[in-house]
Amino acid sequence: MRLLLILVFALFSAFGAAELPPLEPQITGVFPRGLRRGSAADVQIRGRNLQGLRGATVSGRGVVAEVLEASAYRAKLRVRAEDGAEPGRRDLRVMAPQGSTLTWLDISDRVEVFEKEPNSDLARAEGLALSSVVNGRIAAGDYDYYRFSVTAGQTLTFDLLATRNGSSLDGVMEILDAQGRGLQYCDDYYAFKDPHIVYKFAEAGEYFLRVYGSGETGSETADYRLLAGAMPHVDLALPGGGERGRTVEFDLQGVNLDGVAEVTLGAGLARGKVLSAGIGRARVSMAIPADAPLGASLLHVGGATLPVPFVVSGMRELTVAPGTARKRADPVAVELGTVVNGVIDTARAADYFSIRVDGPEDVVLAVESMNLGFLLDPLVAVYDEAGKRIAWQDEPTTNTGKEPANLDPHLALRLPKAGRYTVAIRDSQFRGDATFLYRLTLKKAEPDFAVRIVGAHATLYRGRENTVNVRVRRLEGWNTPVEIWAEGLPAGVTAPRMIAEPKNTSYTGTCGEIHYLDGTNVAVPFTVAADASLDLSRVVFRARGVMAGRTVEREARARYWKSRIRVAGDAEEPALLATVADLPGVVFQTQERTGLGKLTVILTRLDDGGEDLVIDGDGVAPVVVAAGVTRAEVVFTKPGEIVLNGRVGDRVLGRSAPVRVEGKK
Amino acid sequence: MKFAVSLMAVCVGAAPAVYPPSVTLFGVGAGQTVVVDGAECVVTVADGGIAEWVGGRVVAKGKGATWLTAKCAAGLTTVPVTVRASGAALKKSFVNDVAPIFTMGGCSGANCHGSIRGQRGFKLSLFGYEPALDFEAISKRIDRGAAEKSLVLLKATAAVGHGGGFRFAADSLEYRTIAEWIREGAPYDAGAAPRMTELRVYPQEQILVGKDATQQLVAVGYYSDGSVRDVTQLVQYSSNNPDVVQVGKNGQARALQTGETAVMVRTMGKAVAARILVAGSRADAGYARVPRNNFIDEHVFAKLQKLNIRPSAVSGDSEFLRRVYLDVVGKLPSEEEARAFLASKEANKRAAVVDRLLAQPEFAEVWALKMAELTRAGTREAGAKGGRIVYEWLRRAFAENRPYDQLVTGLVLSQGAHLFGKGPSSFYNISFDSNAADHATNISQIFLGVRIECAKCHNHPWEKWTQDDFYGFAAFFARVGVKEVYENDENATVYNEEGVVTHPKTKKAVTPKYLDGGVEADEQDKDIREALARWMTRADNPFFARAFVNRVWKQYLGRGLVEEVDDFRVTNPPTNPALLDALAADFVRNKFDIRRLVRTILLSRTYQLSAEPNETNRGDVLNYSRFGMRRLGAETLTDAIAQVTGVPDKFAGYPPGTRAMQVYAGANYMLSTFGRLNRDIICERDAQPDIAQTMHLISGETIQKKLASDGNVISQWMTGDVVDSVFLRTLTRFPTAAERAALDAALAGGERRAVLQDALWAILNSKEFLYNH
Amino acid sequence: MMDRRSYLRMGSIAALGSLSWSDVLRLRAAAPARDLSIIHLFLAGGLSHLDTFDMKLNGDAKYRGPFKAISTSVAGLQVCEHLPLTAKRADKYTVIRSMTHKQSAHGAAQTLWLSGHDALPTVLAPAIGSVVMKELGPRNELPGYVFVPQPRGNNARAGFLGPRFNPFSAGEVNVAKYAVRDMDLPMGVDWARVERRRGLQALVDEKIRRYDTTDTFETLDAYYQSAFDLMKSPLAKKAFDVGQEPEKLRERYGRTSMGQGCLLARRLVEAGVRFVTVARGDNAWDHHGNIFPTLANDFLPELDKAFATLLDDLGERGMLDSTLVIVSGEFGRTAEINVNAGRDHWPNCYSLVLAGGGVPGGLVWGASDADGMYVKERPVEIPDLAATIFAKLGIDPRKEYVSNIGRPFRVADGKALEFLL
Repeated sequence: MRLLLILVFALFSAFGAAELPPLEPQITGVFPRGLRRGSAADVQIRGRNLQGLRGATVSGRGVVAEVLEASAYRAKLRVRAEDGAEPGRRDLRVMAPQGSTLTWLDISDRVEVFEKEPNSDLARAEGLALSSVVNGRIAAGDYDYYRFSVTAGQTLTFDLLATRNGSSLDGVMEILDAQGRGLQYCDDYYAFKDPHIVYKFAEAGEYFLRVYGSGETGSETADYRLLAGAMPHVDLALPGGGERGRTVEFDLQGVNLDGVAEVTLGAGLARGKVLSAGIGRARVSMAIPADAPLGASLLHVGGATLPVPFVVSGMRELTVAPGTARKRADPVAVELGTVVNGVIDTARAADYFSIRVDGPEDVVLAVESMNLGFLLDPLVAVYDEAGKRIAWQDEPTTNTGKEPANLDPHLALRLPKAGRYTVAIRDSQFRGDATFLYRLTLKKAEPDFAVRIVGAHATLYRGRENTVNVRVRRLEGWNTPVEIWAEGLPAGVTAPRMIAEPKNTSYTGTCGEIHYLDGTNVAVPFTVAADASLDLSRVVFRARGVMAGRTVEREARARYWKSRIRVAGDAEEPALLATVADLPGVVFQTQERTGLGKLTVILTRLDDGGEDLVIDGDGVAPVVVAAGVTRAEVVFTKPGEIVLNGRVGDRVLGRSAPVRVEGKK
Repeated sequence: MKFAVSLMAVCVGAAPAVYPPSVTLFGVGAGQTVVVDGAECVVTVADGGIAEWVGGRVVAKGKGATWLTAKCAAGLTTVPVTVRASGAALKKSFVNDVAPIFTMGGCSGANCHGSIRGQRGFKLSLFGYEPALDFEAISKRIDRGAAEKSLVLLKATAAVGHGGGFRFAADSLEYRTIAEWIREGAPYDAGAAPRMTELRVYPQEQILVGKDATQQLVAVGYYSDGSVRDVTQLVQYSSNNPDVVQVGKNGQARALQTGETAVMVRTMGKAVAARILVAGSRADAGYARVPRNNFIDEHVFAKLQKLNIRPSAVSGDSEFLRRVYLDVVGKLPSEEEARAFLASKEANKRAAVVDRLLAQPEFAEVWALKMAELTRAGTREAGAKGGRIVYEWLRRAFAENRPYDQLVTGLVLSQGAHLFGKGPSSFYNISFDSNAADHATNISQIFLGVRIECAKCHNHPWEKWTQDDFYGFAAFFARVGVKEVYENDENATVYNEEGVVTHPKTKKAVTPKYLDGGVEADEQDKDIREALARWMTRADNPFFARAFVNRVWKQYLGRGLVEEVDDFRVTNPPTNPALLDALAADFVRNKFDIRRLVRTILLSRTYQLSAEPNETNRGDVLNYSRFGMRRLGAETLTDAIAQVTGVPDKFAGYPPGTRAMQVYAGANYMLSTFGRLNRDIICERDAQPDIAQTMHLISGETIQKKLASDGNVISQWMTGDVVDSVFLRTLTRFPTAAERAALDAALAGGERRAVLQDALWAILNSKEFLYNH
Repeated sequence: MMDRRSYLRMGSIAALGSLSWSDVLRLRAAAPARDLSIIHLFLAGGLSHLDTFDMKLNGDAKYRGPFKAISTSVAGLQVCEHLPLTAKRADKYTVIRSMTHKQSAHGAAQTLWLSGHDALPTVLAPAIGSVVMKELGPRNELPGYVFVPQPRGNNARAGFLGPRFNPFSAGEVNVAKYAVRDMDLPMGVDWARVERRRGLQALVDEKIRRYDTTDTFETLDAYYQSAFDLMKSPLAKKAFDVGQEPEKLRERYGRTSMGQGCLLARRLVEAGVRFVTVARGDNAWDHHGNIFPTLANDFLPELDKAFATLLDDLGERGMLDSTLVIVSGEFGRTAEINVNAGRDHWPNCYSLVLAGGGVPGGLVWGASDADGMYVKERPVEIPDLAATIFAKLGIDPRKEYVSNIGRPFRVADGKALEFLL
């Protein structure tokens, strides 16, 4: 057996064509990366291929964006948010002739201020505006010091919103005493590199907060939104959701909750009544409207740092207080068709529930925890009456960095015979923490499937082969093929109907071992006629499957995942932004800035590449590049924004992004 | 074979020591070598019918019990002698008589027939621990018809060409034993033959006085059938330090120079050691009684008295202050602190300084860095981030003075995401593919001081550790794994649902087995490491406390009671077993209180001795008769240079103001050149100097930039008499008259700033600065 | 001398193979004695043998890279088109295509390569260069074992032999103003001032010198003396000063890390250094992705110019016969091209090149199978290669050290290869 003995994981590029340099717009920096609702802000965008931006949209309601100016590496948008806009992260999409891309904005309901450099040492520390959003940036080796004072016994919360918002900053926060000695630090609190500290100050006095890039990393586009103050902070709501059409009571758990007055669900879907409120806990009752959309939503707690995950479900809900379901011999009885809410708050602990079936039954044990943002890594196990373990699952598939991670189990199994079965849920690493909330759904299996478009935007080139990947994820035992097709295709664009076979797609890792994706990938081929209109359209994918006589039809959501800056999620619009464009004959890769004189340029020929190519430009002597050569050296003789043209005869196959040539300093 | 009764006795006036303390003989003709340490001794056996004294051995005549009397000038000692199971003369056993000869003769050594590939086709098991293999190989090289024509005998007596040369003569006991065994049909008695269960050597510790003093060692084997045999002639002897003591094939040790060493005694896969000390002269009666501060001094000075070595005087105030600052907080005392301490007349000012320094956060930083290096924090994917979490966890533990057993339990049971977890879970993520065997190796070496990794591939040559021991201990970590959690570089240490360790030879799953024999059953839904942590931290665990107190002792005294600090084995005995046991017992009795242990050591007179030798302890490096000088660690030296010159360092990736001691992972040129490890494997730092370090001190930027920087300390010394300040700030002492004269002359004659730069360069390159003394 | 072509065609010479030390002595007595030096071009990260010295043009198409093979100055021997200068000098080196070992991780493979021993958890094996230092010592005040730019991890170090035998780090040579770290006196400090400083240092040392009974301080003084000798030595200043080389020769070597490194290596060996390792970056050759353009545009031209010019330079100065040049990675790379258009680690069969120091020219030793994955004939193990190097230096490969924990440690585990002596 040829054993490939490779122990280094290769760096995986996104699914698209490996060798083609990206032509669609790319965004590396947004600043400020958000604004207060009821205000407007001019947002600076940094990136590549931004020339000719045609428009920008912000997901959700109440926020609009308008392109003020755009050049190859910079753009400026005017973003306006209405008073009633829901706070939280929004998708910001920008569209250009060569394609569109997606980045993120944070809508806050606080005063927004900006960091004032120089604040790079203790002496020049900047006063920290408490309970407001401080927008700042961290260049490599930069330190931002903030000064604040507290009263004895006060508890302050510090939260740095960066990678969760799409920023490239891997931030660190440290609380220092008056002499600059470290009291507490945090590097990665959340799953995605942002720090968060809750600190009770024993003594009153002046303290400092130091913000910097982990290992002194950073760049001019590494932005952060710092939130600090004695305002309330909610870690979780227990139960973490409620059945729509019912009034549900839940505990908010966190710090500084004594002042909490109003709690709203989503964009004002429902208002909660605060029954009691203490420092660490507040009890709220809320009537969830019967027509509230199912799925994860957010609770906005007045004045709190961050919204709290809250799921609207269509099923009976049960809550077990931490520690009350810990006896394996005496599990809490639960009827099938129930969502159990609990917290694994002590190490090595597990919660036990029992379900009863009258005969062989296909059941589903699905957990929501990591996907709601909690750091529990849940594991479920099922035991028969004799106590023998008959099934267990940690993750649906192994996480290998090629996919957004998913730690929440989705165990579909057939209970062999009538009787009582015990279901255990614990942390797969035997940990325990007061923030490890889980929602365990125990129900009869209703085979179903979910469909996702892999990537929220695509550029379809005229006269070429284009593929869009669509993923079908089979749930609760679905095991028949699913048909997929696209709707809303612009003129000249066709895509055949495809079948997703009920077998997970596999790929081989660098060590030759086989990995399985969580679902079946279908590469939908898009053929685009040479004369199709160069336009943007919203392509919707639908899927239909039949199993055991039941027909299920689903609409696909677009799922984005940028592994480098670690942000993943479902785009608000269930559609793929497809831009029809022409592929240039040659693509240049150059630096944004250079001095006069020589510069090495990398070029990729996309035409038949038969004849030699001539590169010229304003003040650039023509350079002949033979077929097959991928590098050329051009000499800039004039400062300014110079565009390089790639010609064959008098036909311009492609142009480079403008290169800012600076005169000799 | 003649045995001289050893006449050199050491103890004055006490009854002669007789080894072994009791004699049991099996079968008529069986003999036991007996050694009597005493002058003008006459040895007699009470009942001649049972046993008789012939040429230094007691030989069995008939069943029954009697006793042997050794009457010497200084007194009389009796030793019981019993003879059992008299009957047919014993037949030669391959396992017990023939195989050991190949070990003793060095044939089965690693560089000859015992090596993995054997030699010229003749392959023996390493040190004879697999008799079955050896029988197969040897029986092909014997001539059952004519024993004397057997190839093994021809080769051994060099009658034919033999790469290994002459091993023993034709008339030797070895030759006769093998020949007799062949004539008796060369049987292989594997099953029947009793296996040696224990090997003992007498005396276990002996002090020889003067050059060429000798001591005959006696080795006795105890077998699975209860029988006992004299194996003095069948074991291999080797001295750990042949310059101090040499030992011949017959077990006679000879002193060459003062000092001490262990003599290893090996056969049949068993190994023990005798500790031989060589004193300069006989312990004179006038040995002045030295004052003792605590039990540490009792043990240290007791041994010194036996060796007739007088400890040096107590260190002066400036020596003590600089030493205790560098050891405890890794910093120099400031000029003001030095002046205040030197001027203070307070009686217990030393204890007060010790208590104040132990309470400083820097004490926790010194130990956190040491443990972070041992647990190799900051390596593999977790990188510096994971390293910081482990370091901060350790620093908080030492700052709170968390008991050592709880600290280790926290590490052993750690798991969870390496970067988001609260615990030090990247502890288990040391090597890329770290598996159960790696965890067993790391944890046994770091926390138990036992290096069982030698037993991973073959039985440990001198230790009792076998492959079964290794894989039994590794089985505790069968289910410890690493799993990708969020993105490709965010891993988590996981306790998997299933996982077993298979033995390479038997290919069967191994049940977890503690190092001292107990077994633990692995069950579902149970983390077996909890049981392991409980066993490790039990008060009576034979390894745990001793391993840590030895490490702490080395941190402050420069040399472990067991050296290589994590290499506890029978054949590497501690230089002062009583002291090691006392330290461990005190540590356990006080519930593993680390700060209390350190305080006890620092307040002992032994720690506070001066480094200046006297005429009796010039040659002693093993017994703490004076303070052992040692180079400053990379971090301490770097910080001391920054502190003295008043120019702080900036470490890439760390906020400004971070000291070298706080750099938890990674290293700049200065740190790696002066010994900071890159943590690829666990090992002690090498304190020897080399050319790169020397050139860096002479002209490297670390010192040069600081001397040239305007804002350095020299700018405070531009006026007035600064000579005292220069020496107090760097060496915590006032200058000598010669030093003051030289510096005053230079200042008078030269440009002030340049002269002060030269003075600082000279002191920073001086041995007094580079060494803790 | 047998003409090369028949030597090559004849391939296997039955009697050869690994020898006992006595055979080696007999053969060496026949060969002319030479005070050998060694330059090791260490391609850390792993050289793809299939795209350089062991191309498989008629093997399985899916394993074949895009490079064409070109003929060399030796009939029957072909190398990659991106090694034109090396191809012209095939008559000066031996290609071994049947190297094999079992370590597929960088760390373990580099430990095996640089020390000749498999990595042991219990003991840090000394690098071959360190053993050479312990046995033969430096020839003059120059350090005897130099690593260009500097060793990584514990591999190229002296291990349990102690830091005295660590390699001397030369630093990156391909920089504008190359100077060895800490070699020159700082600005404003001349030797007279150094003497004044040493006077005061001796004065301060007086008191504590009496405390030392184990000559620790003598060793330290010896280091200070050899440091000053090195810093003052005109020979050292000249040897490390690559600036003195004519511009044309520096261009021939190539303005690259390997190129300027090889130039410095030649100067050091010429000045008396025994063992020089030249490497580039940190596992720079570890091309798991986009291997072919990287090799074609960057790595192979660099190696080609550096190695070919080194052979010419040594030849022109009459040093080739007394300097053994080894060109090797710590393993080869997989035949299968991975999803990122790269090749992964492959220790089972790979190639290396040896030149100078009496090694026959134009010889191809051993062969790999059709796809270059497994050794077809005459496998060569690294312990044997290490034994060969020691034998050529007159060091008995069976010499034994006792490691710091008492484990016996033979200088080389293998036996010398006769065809290289």
